[in-house]
Amino acid sequence: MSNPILEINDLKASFKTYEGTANVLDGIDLTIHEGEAMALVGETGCGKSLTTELILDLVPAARTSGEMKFKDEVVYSPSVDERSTLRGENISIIMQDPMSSLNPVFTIGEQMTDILLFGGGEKSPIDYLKHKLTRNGAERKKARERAREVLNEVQISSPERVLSSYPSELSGGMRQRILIGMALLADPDLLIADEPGTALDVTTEKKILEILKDIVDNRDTSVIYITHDLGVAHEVSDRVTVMYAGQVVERSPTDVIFDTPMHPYTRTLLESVPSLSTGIGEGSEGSIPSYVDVEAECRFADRCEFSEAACRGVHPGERTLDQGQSVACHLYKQDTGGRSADDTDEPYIGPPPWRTEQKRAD
Amino acid sequence: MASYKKFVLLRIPQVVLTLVGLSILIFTLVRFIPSDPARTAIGPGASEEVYQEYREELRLDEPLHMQYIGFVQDIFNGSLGESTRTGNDVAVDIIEKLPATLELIALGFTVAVLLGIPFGIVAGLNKDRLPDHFSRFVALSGIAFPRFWLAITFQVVLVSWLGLFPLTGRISGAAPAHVTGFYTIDSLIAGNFDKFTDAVWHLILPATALGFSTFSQVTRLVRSEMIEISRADYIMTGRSQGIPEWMIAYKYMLKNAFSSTLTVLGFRIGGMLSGATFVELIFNIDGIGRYTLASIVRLDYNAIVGVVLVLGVTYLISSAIVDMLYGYLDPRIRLEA
Repeated sequence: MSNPILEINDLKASFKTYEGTANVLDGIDLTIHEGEAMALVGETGCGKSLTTELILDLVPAARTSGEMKFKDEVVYSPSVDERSTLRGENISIIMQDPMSSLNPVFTIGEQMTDILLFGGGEKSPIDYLKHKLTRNGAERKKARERAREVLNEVQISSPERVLSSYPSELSGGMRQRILIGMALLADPDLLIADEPGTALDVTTEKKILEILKDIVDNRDTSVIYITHDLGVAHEVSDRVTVMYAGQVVERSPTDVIFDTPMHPYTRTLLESVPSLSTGIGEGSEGSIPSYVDVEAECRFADRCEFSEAACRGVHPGERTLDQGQSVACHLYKQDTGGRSADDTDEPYIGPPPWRTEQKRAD
Repeated sequence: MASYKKFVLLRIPQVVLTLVGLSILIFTLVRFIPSDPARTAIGPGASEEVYQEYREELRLDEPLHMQYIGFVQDIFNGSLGESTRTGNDVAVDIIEKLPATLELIALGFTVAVLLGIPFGIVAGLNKDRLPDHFSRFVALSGIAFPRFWLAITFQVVLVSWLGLFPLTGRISGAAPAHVTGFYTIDSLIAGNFDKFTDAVWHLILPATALGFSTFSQVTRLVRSEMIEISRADYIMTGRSQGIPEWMIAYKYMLKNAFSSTLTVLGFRIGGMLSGATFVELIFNIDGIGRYTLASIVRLDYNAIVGVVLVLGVTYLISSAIVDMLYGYLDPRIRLEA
């Protein structure tokens, strides 16, 4: 496998609230390799967006700990914090809501050229004044040219008109394309797409995803797709990471997870995907638990039909299985490749019922 | 920019229409005061004949709509009618009194805005830290203390105890040769720089007393707008693309924050004009505020109508300017036009 571009180890994040401390992220590990497309899947409020926003230090209110490496260089640890230098040129986020993510009082052209001319954090207000006073035509022209290029890349047919428009003059689909274009301006190595197109109608969403996938394939950038829709994950990703309530519950290659979902939560997610043959999906009961005063436990236990005492007392460590899958659930045993299987202390409930049924059917 | 020009031009007929409405309203309302201005003006001892003559002169014997038509005709002749108190044409009186007040407002307002905005920005960017607490203290005292109290306190502490400023009036010694009626401008025209500094020196205390509450409001508003906008999605977009923090604050946030502050500023100019009365009384400045007060006491119909019209025009002009600036700052507003 190619080199990892971003590694996150044991990322924790908490917030102070009036009810107490909300421990939202509970030790997230993520690794994205060069050229890889990973889907981060989970329902609303499970911490997907927060995880990616923390990579770029965009949530000042969060108290975080853990370690992050970008291209083998430590960018975040107890003693180092250089996450903000990654913004733009190294990692770029396509924001979730196209209607509210563009500044309403500046033209698209101004917002885009600002990123090109002043992004990266080394320019001072003096530079800005100089630029405004000298009306640096050549530099501005070049930046505008580049903006036009990326707008072409996201298949906007009249880039010049769009550049001189304000966000309120453009449709949602257009704004979503512009947001993608903005994220591409500085040629990032890693692109994070937060629910791309979800806020739009289904046909527009599909078109947006196609555009995005084409760009990612052409450029060979690594990408994290954040989505609540396993169907979308199936279309665009190589690998799926499932999150629930601030914990990673399952990782799997995309082509495997749809045949053999391991974690009970992944199974409910799959069952809730509507399909033409079976009608509207099952949906799942309950919602994400409160993040205040959570114990060390499997956070899905309350909603899980297979949960037992062990699930509430002990945090299920991640267990590696065959076919490149791994799952954090007491229903599974670590796959040790045939060697003695009982050298782990972790509680083990027993094989999940659907597996034994499958075996019997075989 | 064509759409912006259209946006501005559309405002002009609106202003004119509102002025016509306003003049009818004031004109009628004043005449409903249950008292007799002619009798008040000539005194109880005057004969019935003189009284009737005076009523005719003031057109009080005519029906209301004819009075109004005459009033409008007078306006087109550059007159607002005779003041029963001073005996001058009200227009002449207003032109004489207004500059003193406008000088006060101009200085008070400019300082309020120029100090209020940076205060608000710094407070908003440092929410719940020391600069924020400090600005909250200053701003709340500006809202809590009434103007006349501030004015008197300034006189006691800064003038009487410390002797830093002149106590009252607009200038020491003779006024500069009359050109505009603004002592600051006239003294500059006369080339007398000493008189200019003296006039400014006289302005500082009353202008501060007048503008302090506006300063407080601007500070609080800019602060809360900055905090509100710092949570907006588009601010995170800018940050995630590597736009530097100073640019986020002073370009991307400020332009958004300022457009709603503008609305309030428009009202404040009119508010300062009507609030100038106390300050003028305490600092003995012969401005429009004192003129208004005296006119009301003496039931001077024409003067009251004239002054209220001036007040209305000021409100209208300032809110029209605000509208235009608003449209300039926020494209969504001018696109609706």
